[in-house]
Amino acid sequence: MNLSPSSNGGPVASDPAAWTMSSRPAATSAPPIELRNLNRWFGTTHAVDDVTFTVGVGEVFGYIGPNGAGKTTSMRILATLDEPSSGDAFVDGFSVVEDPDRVRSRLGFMPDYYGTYQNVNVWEYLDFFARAYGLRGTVRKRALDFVMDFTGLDDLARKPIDGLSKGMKQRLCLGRTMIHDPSVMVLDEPAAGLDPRARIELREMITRLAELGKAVLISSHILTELAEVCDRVGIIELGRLVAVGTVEEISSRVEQRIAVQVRLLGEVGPLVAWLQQQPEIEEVSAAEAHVRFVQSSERERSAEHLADTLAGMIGAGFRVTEFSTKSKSLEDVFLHVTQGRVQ
Amino acid sequence: MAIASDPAAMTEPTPARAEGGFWTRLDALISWLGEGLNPILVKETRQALKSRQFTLWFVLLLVACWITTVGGVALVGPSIYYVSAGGYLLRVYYAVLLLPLTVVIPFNAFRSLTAEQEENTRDLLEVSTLTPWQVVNGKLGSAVLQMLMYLSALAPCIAFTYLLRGVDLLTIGLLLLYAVLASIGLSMIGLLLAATNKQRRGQNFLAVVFAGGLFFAFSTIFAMSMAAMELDPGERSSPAFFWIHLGLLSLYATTFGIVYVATAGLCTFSSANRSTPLRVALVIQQAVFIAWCAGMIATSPAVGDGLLAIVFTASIYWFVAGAVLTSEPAELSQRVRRRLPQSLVGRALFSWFCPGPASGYIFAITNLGLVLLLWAGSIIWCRVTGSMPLASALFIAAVCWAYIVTFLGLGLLAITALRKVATLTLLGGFLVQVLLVLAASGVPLLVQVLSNRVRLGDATLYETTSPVLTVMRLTDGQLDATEEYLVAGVVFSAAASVLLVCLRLAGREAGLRRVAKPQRVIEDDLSMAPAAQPVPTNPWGDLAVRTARTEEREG
Repeated sequence: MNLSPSSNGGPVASDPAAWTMSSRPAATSAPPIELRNLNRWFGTTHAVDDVTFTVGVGEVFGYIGPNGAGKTTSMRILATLDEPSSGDAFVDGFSVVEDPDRVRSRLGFMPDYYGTYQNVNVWEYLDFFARAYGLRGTVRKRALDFVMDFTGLDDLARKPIDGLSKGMKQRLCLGRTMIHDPSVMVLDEPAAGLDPRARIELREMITRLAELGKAVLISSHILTELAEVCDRVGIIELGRLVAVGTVEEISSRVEQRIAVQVRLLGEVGPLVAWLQQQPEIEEVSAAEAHVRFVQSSERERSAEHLADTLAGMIGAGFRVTEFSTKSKSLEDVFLHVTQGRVQ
Repeated sequence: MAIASDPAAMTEPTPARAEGGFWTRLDALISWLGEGLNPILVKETRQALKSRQFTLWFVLLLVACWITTVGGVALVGPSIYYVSAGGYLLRVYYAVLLLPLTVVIPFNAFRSLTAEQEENTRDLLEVSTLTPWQVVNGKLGSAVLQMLMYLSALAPCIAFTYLLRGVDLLTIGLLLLYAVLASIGLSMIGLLLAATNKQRRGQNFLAVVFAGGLFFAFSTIFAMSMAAMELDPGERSSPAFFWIHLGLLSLYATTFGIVYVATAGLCTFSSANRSTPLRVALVIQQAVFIAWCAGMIATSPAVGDGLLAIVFTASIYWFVAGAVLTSEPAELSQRVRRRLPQSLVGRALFSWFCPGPASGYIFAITNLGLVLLLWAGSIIWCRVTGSMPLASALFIAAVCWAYIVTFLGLGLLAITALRKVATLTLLGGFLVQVLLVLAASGVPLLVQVLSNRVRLGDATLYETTSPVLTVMRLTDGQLDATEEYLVAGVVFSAAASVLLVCLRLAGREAGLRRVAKPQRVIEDDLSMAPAAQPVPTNPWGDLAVRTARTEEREG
C-alpha cells in the first residue's frame, strides 16, 4: 500500500509521509499529465481544438478560460469520461482511450458537481469510494483516517451528507478524489461557491497535495486563487490553448506597455521634463517624491529598454532610489490574452 | 491498480488468527467476510436500510401478512382443525409476496442505476476502478438481498400454510422458485434498460414503460402460478412437466446470461471489447437450443409438423442478433487489437468472435447456417419430416438462410455507407436493418396497390423481396415448380452477390494484425508482477554437480 507506516508502526494521518507513493512502481520519464493534439467535436462545435500541454510531478497547473472554452471537456477526456475525436491524453504515460483502467487507478477526478448519495453519512461515503478503488482492511482504514484528517472532516464522520454545508461537501469531494492516493488530480472548479476562509483552506490543501508529489490540474474562474497556487497556467479560449507558462512568462510575452514607478532624491520636476523628451515614454505623471510613466517597447526588447531608460536617468544625474515595474496580474494577462468570444 | 494489487498490503489477518472471546472472533470473521463483498452491495444495503421506501414496503408486507393470517383463521373458525385451508391462504400470501418481488425490487434496480445519473454519481463510478461487472453484480446483489429480506419476512406465513394442509411442499417450492427467478430476471432487465439510456427524458419514458411492464408481469406470473396450483399432483410429477420446466429454465438461464453480458457491455468504456462476451453468450444459447431441438427430433415422432418452427425461430433469432452485431463500430481500438488472434487457425476460427460489423455478419450467418445444417442432418437421419416432403423442408430452410444472408448483408453495406457521411449509433444501425426488412416486405404490397396489371397477373417476382410472404407461400405450398425455381434463382443469386461483397469487408477485418502493447503498459505489467523467486534446482549445490562431472570426465 502506498501508505507508509510511521516509525512506531501505526499510521499517522496528519503526517504527509503517511500518504506518499512509496510503493508505487518506479517513475517513468512520461509526465504525469500530457495532452497531445487533443481535439473534440460536438457536431459542428469544435470544443477542444488541438490542445497540447504537459504537467510535471508536484506541479499545480491552472487551466483557465471563459465559460464554454473547453476546460471541462478536456478534463473529462483526461478523466476517461469522454473520448477525443482525435489526438490523445496520457496519465503517467497511459492513454486515456486505450488504457482507461490503468489511468483510473492513478487519477483522482473532482468534477464541478458534488455527486453525493442519499441516506449516506460522511464516513460511509468515503468508505464506499475507498472500497471502489480496491482498498481493503487496514489499508482502507488508514486511508480513511488520513483523508478525514486531511480534509478536516473528523468531527463530521457520522453526519449525513445531505446536512453538510457547501464548503464541507467540497472538502468531502476532495477527500473522495484523493482516497486512493492518485498521482494525478484533476479538479474542475473546486473553489466555486466557497467562502473566503474555505477558499484559503482549499488552496492550502492543494499546495500540500503538490508537496506530496501529485500533479494537479485545476480549473477555476477565480483567477486570484489560481495565481497564488499554480506553478503554471494554460489559457484556453474557443477550444484553443492561447497561452501556456508561468504568469510572469505569459505577462512578459504579452506586455508591450510597461508601467514604471521611479522614486528619487530631490525635485521630481526635472525628471518629468527629461522623461517627456524620451522616445517610447508616455503618460508621465509626478506625485510627491515619485514619478510614474509608461514605457512602450517590443515584447522581446522590453527589459533592454527599461535598462537603457534607467541608465539614461542615472547618466543625466538623477539620484534614483527606486525603479520598479508593476507586473501584470493573472487577471490582466487573462483579459489581454482572451477576447471574450464564446462558441 | 497500484494500491489494490500490492499483495503485501492486501494481507489481512484471517479470522483464524484473531484472538479473544467468541464475540471478538465472530466480529473478526464478519469483518473479514465483509472485506470480500461488492462495494456497491455494501453501499446500497446501507442506503436501503435507512431509506423510508424500504421500511414502508417491509411494514406493509408484514401488515398484509398479519391481516391475512388473522382474517383467514377467523373466517375458517373452529373447522381449521379438519379443513384443508392452506391452499387458499397460500394464494393470498403469494400475491402479497409477488408484488414486491416482481414490481418493487425490479423497479428499485432500474431506479438505482438511473439515480446514479440523476445524482451525478455515475461519472464517479466510471472513473473508479470498479469494473462494469462489479457494478452490475452489486446492483443485482442488492436486489437479491432485498428479496431475501422479503422472503424471510414471509417464511413463517408460508410454513403456516403447509401446517394447515391443502398444499404440498413441491408446490410451495415451485411457486417460490418462480417468484425468485422472475424477480431476478426482471431486475436484470431493469438494469439493462437503465444502462441503455443516459438522458433523463429517455429514462423517464423508460421508467413509465417498465413500470407498466412490471405490473403486467406481476399479473401474468400470478395467474400462471395459480393455474399451476390447480394442476393435478400426478401431472406435476409427470416426465413431460419435468422436461417442459427444464426447457424453460435453460431458456431463462441463457437469456439471463445474454442480458447480463449486454448490461455490463453498456457500462463498459467504448474502447474495451464489449462484443466478444455477447457473442459467446449467443453461442451458448444456440448450443442449448440445438440440444433441445435434437432431443425433440430424436425422441418425439409427433414433432414432424413443427419442424419448420425451429427454422423460423433460428432465422428470427439470428437476424435480430446479426442486426445488433452488424451495427457495431467499424474501427477497432488499439486496446482490442492487442488481443486479436495471431495464428492462421486462430484467425480463421476466432476472428468472428472479435468486435466489428463485418465479423458480426459472418458470425450471425455462420451460426444460422450451422443450426440449419444440424437441423437438416437430424431430420434426414431420423426421417422425421411430418406431412411435408423432405426436399420442400430443406428448400424452405435454404431460402430462409439466403434471406438472412441478403438482408443482413445489405444492412451492413447500408450502415457502412451511412457511417461515411454521418454518425450512426448501435441503435441507429439496428433500426436501419429493421427498416430495410420492413421496406422490402412492403414492396409487393405497394406494387399491388399501384398497379392493376400486377394485381391480376403473376406477382411472384415482386413478392420475392418480402421474406415473410415468400416463406409463407412456400410453406403453404401455394407456389408451383416454376415459381419455386424463380424464387430460388432470385433469392440465392441475391444472397451470393451480397455475400461476396460483404466477404471483402469481413476479409479486411479478419486481416487486421495484433498490435504490440505500448512500452509503458509492458513496464507496468512487469512492475505489478510478483518478483520471481529463485527455484532451487539442485539441493546439493552446483559445486557438488561440477565436482561429480569433473570426476566422471577424469575417471
